[in-house]
Amino acid sequence: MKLTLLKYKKLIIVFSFFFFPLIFISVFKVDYNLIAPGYNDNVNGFIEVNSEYESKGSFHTTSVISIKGITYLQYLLGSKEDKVFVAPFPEYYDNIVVSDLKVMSYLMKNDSIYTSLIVGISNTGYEIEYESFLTVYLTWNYLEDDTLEIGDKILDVKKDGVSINISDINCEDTVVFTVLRGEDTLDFELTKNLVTDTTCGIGISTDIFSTILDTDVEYNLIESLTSGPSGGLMQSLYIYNQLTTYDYSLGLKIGGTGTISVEGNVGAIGGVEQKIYTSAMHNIDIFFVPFAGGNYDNAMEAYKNISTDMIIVGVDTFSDAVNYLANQLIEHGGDLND
Amino acid sequence: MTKEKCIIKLHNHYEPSQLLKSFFAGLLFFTVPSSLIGLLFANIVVLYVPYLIYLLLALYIGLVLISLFSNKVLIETLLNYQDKSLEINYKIIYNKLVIISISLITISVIIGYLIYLSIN
Repeated sequence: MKLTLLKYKKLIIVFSFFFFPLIFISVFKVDYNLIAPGYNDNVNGFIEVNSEYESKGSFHTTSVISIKGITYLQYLLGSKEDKVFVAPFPEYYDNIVVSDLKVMSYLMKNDSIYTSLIVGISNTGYEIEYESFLTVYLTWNYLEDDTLEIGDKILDVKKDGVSINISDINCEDTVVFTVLRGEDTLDFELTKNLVTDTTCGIGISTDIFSTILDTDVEYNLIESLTSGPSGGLMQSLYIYNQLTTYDYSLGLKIGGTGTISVEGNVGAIGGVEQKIYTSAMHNIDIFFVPFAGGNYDNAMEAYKNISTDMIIVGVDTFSDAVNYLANQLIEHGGDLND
Repeated sequence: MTKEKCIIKLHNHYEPSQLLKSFFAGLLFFTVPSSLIGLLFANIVVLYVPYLIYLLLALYIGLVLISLFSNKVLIETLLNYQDKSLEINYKIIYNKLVIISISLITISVIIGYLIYLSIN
């Protein structure tokens, strides 16, 4: 063995010259986030809706690769790559546990699926009963210990025994949160303290979380590793299409992005440029983008950099997307009065 | 000389420690570069997920080439302990080792890809 090592001494020296620096930059982490093109997932891969109607085309959500804390090698490669977005950690990372963002992201994904079912089903006239709670999505480091947790459903907020909205809590007010955690109802007394010289906070980020109580429609949810709420619009369209006589898919690959609310409003998302690149790579025919948050403008900027036949359609609401597809259906010889 | 006879002879004419040292020499020359390739792959693949299949192919080719070289090192180490009177066909042993290692790499890459498909 010694003889063998001696025989390859030069090779080992040259190899070591590259090996150790490469190992170092592949392991050493920097405080940067990365967003890169990812996948187009057919919605029927994770939501199954029992339906008698057949769809010739398909509806796709678009996900990107989002990494919080990247290696130096990824930083170097990502900075040189046009389709990859690299940015330093935002300042608010100092006040949260970064891994909690992943938990929040899965919570958002679950909400987006239930909200999509609510929007898709209710727009087709089927019965659906649901409930929505203001829910804790993220806790901040300055939240008092052993109080609220991610996933807590806020039932009530009382100041001096009177119910108030969270937005009405003033600086240095002490309020009582009544929350539902699993089966238990818990009370926590919290004070909105000064966080910086100019801002106050309790230490939570909240949003609506909806769940379905009962519906006429049979559906099945399949676990997937993607997270985040950006599939809301496309999931709603897929569910709607499954439950209507007309095939709004037009036999095409329809993609898109955007959150959905129970009212059918389409909200802004992050990484829209990477979603455009991803969808173009996967031969998506029509891509819906929210107008909200400048998403449409950013999408069109990215669109200019690629060569594709994909059509970008800006939307504000679920109805905008349905109307666009309905018009396309009519243009292609379909009749919605059939 | 059949392949089986060849292996039997190898066992008869080498000390277990010599076989073990030769194996470890080959393993060392496989593990170190392939761990670097694996680490680079893990770093790069997240930036180019839509091109995963091509990156996987590059990883596969890289591992196969490394295995060819590491098996050569294993045989060379065995030859260092060689008694000149032995009539061992090292070429056959090398071919057999290459087939085994390429099969293992192929199975590992296919299983890895199937796991990736199943979770996506």
